[in-house]
Order: sequence, then C-alpha cells, then structure tokens
Amino acid sequence: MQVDSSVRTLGEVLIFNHAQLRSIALKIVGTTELADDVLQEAYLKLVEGAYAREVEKPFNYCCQVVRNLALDYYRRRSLEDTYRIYTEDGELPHVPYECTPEKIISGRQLIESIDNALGKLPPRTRNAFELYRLSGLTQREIAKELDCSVTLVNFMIKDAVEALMGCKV
Amino acid sequence: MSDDFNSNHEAVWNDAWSWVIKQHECNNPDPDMQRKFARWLTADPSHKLAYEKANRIWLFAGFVPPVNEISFDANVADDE
Repeated sequence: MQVDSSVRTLGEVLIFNHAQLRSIALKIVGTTELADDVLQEAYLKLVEGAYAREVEKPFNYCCQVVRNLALDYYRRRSLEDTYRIYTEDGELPHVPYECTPEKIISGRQLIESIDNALGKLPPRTRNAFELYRLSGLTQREIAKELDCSVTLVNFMIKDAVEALMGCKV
Repeated sequence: MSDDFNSNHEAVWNDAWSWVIKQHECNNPDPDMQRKFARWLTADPSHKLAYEKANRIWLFAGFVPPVNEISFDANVADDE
C-alpha cells in the first residue's frame, strides 16, 4: 500500500490548487459546469492511480491531467455535435464491447504499456512526442524548440505514433 | 480470406489513427472535415470500434508523466 501516500499527495495538490486548475479546464471547455465535471474526473483519475511512475512535479502533473481531460471532453462534445448534424438520425451506431476479443485493460496498465513503448524510442523522439502530445505545440514550433527540421519532427512523431499503435488497449 | 481480413483490419486501424491525429492538430475542425469524419465513422461498425480504441490510447498517452521538461499551461493561455 505504498502507493497511497503519493495518491493522497496528488489528490491534495488538486484540491489545494482547485481554482487555478479549474480555470485551465474552463478555458478549454467553456462552461463552469463542464469545468467542474473535468475536475471531478481528474480527481477520480488521480485517486484511482491513473499514472505509472513516481511524479516529480505534482502540480505540473495535475495541470497535465486536467488539460488532457478537458481537451478530451471538448473533442467528445464536438464529436456528438457532428453526429447530430451530419447523420440522418443523430444516433451513435451501437458497438457492444463484447465483440472485442481482447479484454479491456485497466487505465493503469495501459499507461504503463504506453510508458514502456515510449521508453524504447530514442530520447529526442520522445521529447518531440511529449511536446506534441502534452504542450500542444505545432510541428513547426517543435522544430524550432529542438533546433531541427520540420521534416525530422514529422518523422519522429510518426515513429512515436507507430509505437502507440502497437499498444494493446 | 484471412489475409484480406488482416489487411482490411490494418487499414481501418491506420485510418482511425489518422483521424485521432487530425483531431489533435485541429481544435476547431471545419464542417467539411466533420462531415468526412462522420461519414467514415458510420460507414462500418469496425470503424467506430477502431476509433474508440485509438482514442483511448491517445487519451491515456496524455496521462503518462513526461521524462522531459514540458510546460502544460503555457499554450492554454495562448489559445485566446
């Protein structure tokens, strides 16, 4: 039960910095109601241990989790709008999960397997991918940051995505 | 038959990832892109399944603590 102390720490960081983290979510999702949903889910994710390693900078990590979830909420909502507008009946096609042969693996296992896959990439490739996935920088901005060509950044991101494509979900 | 299935499966998986990446790069997709996406997603149940899997991996990739120095909130402030 060693995990407990770090779980509590992340949960506490989230609570102590609630206002600041909420404003990060609010900027992305647009309404206070959705921002609160995001914070709630972030809290649950942190408590259930949705991270794989010891986190060095707990506040930064909480910002990462909140931003990531807020962007996911935002995308999901625009996906639902798309359905309403562009499909005749507006109904989502129902795909029962039973038809997947593999078992659904837990979030924690998935994070570990992604972490492993990314760990096998050359350090610069992983750096490019983290800037792309987490900071939301464009490929051009990443090229500037890493002082290399946009073409190289494009290749590095492709390599990282290919590594993710091999993860069992 | 089995080869056909596998290559089709792989093509759907590749398409699903292309959409996930496209959506990551484009926060405000234009109607044309959304229409194309809706058409692809509803064309076959396997498309939605592949998309959901790819999207789950993408979401959880965002929960992996970075090994490099990354700023998270800088761009949120810039978005306005």
